[in-house]
Amino acid sequence: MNEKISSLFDSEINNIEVDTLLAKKNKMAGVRSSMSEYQMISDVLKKNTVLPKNNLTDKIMSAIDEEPTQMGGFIKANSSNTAVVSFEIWPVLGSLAVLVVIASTAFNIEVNSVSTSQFLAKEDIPKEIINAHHAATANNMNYFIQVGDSAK
Amino acid sequence: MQPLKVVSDNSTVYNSPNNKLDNSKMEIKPVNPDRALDQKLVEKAQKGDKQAFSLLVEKYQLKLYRLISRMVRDQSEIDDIVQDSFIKAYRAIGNFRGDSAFYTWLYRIGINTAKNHLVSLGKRPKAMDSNEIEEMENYESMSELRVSETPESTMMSNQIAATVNGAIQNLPDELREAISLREIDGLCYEEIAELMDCPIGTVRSRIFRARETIAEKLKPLIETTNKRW
Repeated sequence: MNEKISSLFDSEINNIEVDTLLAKKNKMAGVRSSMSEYQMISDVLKKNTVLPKNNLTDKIMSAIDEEPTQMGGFIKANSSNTAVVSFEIWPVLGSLAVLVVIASTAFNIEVNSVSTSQFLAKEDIPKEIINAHHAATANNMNYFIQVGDSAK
Repeated sequence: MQPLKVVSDNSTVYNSPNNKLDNSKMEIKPVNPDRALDQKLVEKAQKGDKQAFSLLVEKYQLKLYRLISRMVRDQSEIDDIVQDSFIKAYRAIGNFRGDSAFYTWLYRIGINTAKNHLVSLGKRPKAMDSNEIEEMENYESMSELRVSETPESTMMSNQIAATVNGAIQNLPDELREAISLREIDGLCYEEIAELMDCPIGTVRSRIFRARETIAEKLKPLIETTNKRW
């Protein structure tokens, strides 16, 4: 485990080892602590100014734990942070797909209904009734009742 | 042990006449393992792995601290700016596409955060020319820390340096040589293995053992430091 941390510090670690390290979430504090010690040793050997060990990483990670989790460009609310709006990509795409289906269906119904009414007007309804329809006012309900009776 | 290789890394370049692949004339530049590892950690952080981001924080917080110390002298202010910079980086990590190295991207965030901090205090940030910005982005040159040091912090730094140097002197030759080649000469494991005429796994083990031996000597000092600070 610690040999992997040493290799990680030198960026001489392969993908599988990185995954193995990150999988041990309960040991990450130890990983960070070891890296901090290795950094101190490195600074002395490189004659850099040595900083006494600080807990800045812990402070930063505490602040980041309050942040919503990144989800491939989208964000997911932290369980402890309910104030943040949460959304993921699949529900959004699903909703979009449903909207497209509804819009497409509505369009088809409208087109069909127009063509059906045109068909009826041309062939089924007697010409005199159509002429009477054009002559009458559209909001006269009695007219439509009479037309219905005569059609029977 | 092969260093991480990222398929999309632009540092792999194929050169051949007529722009066709020709194995005999193909030149492959080595992948920068540092950048490849960062990219791997960034990709994991983008998928929600906060632990991966914590490794990036651990790797770069001191370097960012040194960078900011060139613009701001007060230690607590530097702490705040470094913290803000990492939080901004985390919030924006979904937009990071790897066109530049992660540390270059992070350092730009750090510099902008420091400038905004100075403006908020009514101070005028120092104007920097392109050379200075380039130098600041080259983190390997960030060895100097420009903060107002206290006598206690100077004493502690000296004690740490003395302990590390003492521990190095007492290391077996092969461990001392391996860690010196890595830390002082900056060689990769493969180059050290060639120089020391041993397998890469042995180099890896020697460097680790050297670090662990030195860290053991440092631990009591670090515990004292934590109690005192």
